[in-house]
Amino acid sequence: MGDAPVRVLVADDQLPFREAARDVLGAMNEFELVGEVESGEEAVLAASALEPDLILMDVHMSGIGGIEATRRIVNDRPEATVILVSSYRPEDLAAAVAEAGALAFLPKDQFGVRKLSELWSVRAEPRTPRGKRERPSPAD
Amino acid sequence: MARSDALHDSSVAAQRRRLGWADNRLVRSVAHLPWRVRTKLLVAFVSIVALFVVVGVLGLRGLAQSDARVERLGTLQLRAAAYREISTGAAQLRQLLALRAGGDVNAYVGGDASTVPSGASLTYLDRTIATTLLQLGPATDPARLGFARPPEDASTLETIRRDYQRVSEVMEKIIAFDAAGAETKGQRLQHAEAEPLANELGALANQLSSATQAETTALIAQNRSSFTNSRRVFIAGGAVSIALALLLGLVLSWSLIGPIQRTETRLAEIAAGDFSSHVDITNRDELGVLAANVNRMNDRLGQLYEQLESQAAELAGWNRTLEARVDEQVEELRASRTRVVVAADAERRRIERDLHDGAQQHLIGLAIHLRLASELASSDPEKAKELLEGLDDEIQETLEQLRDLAHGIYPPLLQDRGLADALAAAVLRAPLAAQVQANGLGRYQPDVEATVYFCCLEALQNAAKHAGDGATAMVRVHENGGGLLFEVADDGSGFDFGSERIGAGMTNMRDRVGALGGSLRVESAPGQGTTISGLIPLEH
Repeated sequence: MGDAPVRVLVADDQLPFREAARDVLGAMNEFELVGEVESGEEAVLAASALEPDLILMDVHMSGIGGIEATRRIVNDRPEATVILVSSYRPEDLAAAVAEAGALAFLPKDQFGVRKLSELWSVRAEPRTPRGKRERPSPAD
Repeated sequence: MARSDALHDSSVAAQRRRLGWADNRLVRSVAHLPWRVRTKLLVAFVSIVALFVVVGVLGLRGLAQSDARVERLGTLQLRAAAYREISTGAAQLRQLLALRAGGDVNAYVGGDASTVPSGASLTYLDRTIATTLLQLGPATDPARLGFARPPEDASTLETIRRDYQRVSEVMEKIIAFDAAGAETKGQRLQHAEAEPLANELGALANQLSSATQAETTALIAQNRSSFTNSRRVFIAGGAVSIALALLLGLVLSWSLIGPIQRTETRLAEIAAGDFSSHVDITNRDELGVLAANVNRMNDRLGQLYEQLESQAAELAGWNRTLEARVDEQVEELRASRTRVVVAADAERRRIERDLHDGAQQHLIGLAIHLRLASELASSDPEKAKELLEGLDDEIQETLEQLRDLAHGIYPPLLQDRGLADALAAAVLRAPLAAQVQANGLGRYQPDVEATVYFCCLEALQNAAKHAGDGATAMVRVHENGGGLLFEVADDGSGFDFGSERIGAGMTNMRDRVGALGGSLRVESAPGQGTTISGLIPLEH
């Protein structure tokens, strides 16, 4: 892909996912973990400070939560890409998830090397209107 | 109320009108007599009868007097006839003697007048005189009068009899002279004795006859006046009797009707619930007794009515108190039910949270790591193997979390072995040092066991929070009477119960115990530790 690795910020208050994400990103050369935060507010601050290309954002966190944090980050830095993740099924989440401005929603248990590469390659394609590209089928 | 008063007034006025007669002074005094009604009726009846008897006796006496007068009149008529006969005989004798003395013989015999009778005519006259005397004889004889001589006439009749006898004797002598031809001697004797005697006899007889006639006339007049008087007395007596009978009937009946109507009116008022007045009856007879009894009944009923009213008011008061208590309890029940529902929801949220944040997150991590290992299996087998080996710890941690969670939902020991074993195991995991005394316990309903178990755990949590460092706790559970008693006592610093807010845990305990009809007590004071105890009734 590109020369420089993709800078990734992980925002989740659950340690097991952060550890898993760390291991997955560690196994991929084209991605680089630049930071881990545990709340939406911290994610907004880190997004402007670390300038990550990709943010893995948990939907449920204390404070403003992942959705509001995504809105603010996308608003501040339109070039940043946010992937919302959650341990809940998509049908258990509010419609706001689809309208927050994230690239995609990904159930946490489907997170892995291949899925991340697929989603990032989708991002590289020409942009389609919001809402159409954001929710790939869980079966993917 | 006003309407019934008006009705009452009008009925009272009507009663006054009706009872106008009953208020009469005479009627009231009859009513006031201390006799029984029967006696009063008897007295009235006897009075009327007595009056009629008096009238009848007066009438009979009048009749008897009249009868006596009629008898006397008959006697008088007899006497008058007898005296008239004597008088007629005397008059005839005087005329014959006058003839004999040379009077008008024609007046007697109807022949031509001759100055002095002689010879045969003289003898004839003498015989006529003798015949007259013979007829006069019985008329003057007392034994042949036909009636008893009245005393006032007795001497006169005696004189008449004596005169008659002497005339008869003189005439016998004269006739003897005539028969002997000595008419002159006879004439002298006639003048000297016979004529005065005959005159006296005639005068006396006339006197008697006149007196008797006068007496008869007086008697008839007396009879007439006596009849008039008797009639007046009879009519007056009858009228008075009838008037008295009517008056007595009226007075007596009103002296009875008035009180009966008053009593009836009063009874109607009592029936309508008015106990405010008495029957005003002055009778001292059975009706007076009746009125007194009605008044007593009125008073007694009035008292009973008042008692009933006060008891009803008391009951209403109790009822209100009970209602207020029931309302309070219903409100408390509703609040505790709401709290139970809220607590159950909170408990479910907690379990969901625990599952989500604990085991689920670990499983997600496991899934990602497994996928990563599988993706690296061909390109970097060493790395994949290392990853898989690292998963064991995560799996163990996940299992432990799930076990704890399940234990928190319902401890398996409690279900299998009962309270004593479950509590003994629980204190090992307790956040402060604790011991258990739970001897002689059996098995109880699952909700009873769960309540005691979770309350003890909650109390231990409480002790760990408030008792301070180094405090220990003692858990005691035993049956007491008909209930199961549990107690968690710590030797910690205690707290001023009144100054601290009762925590959600304490409320939860109270609700759980209350749901089984039990009660919870908290005893604590600064420096003296805290004892939380509860009693749950056991159903047999």
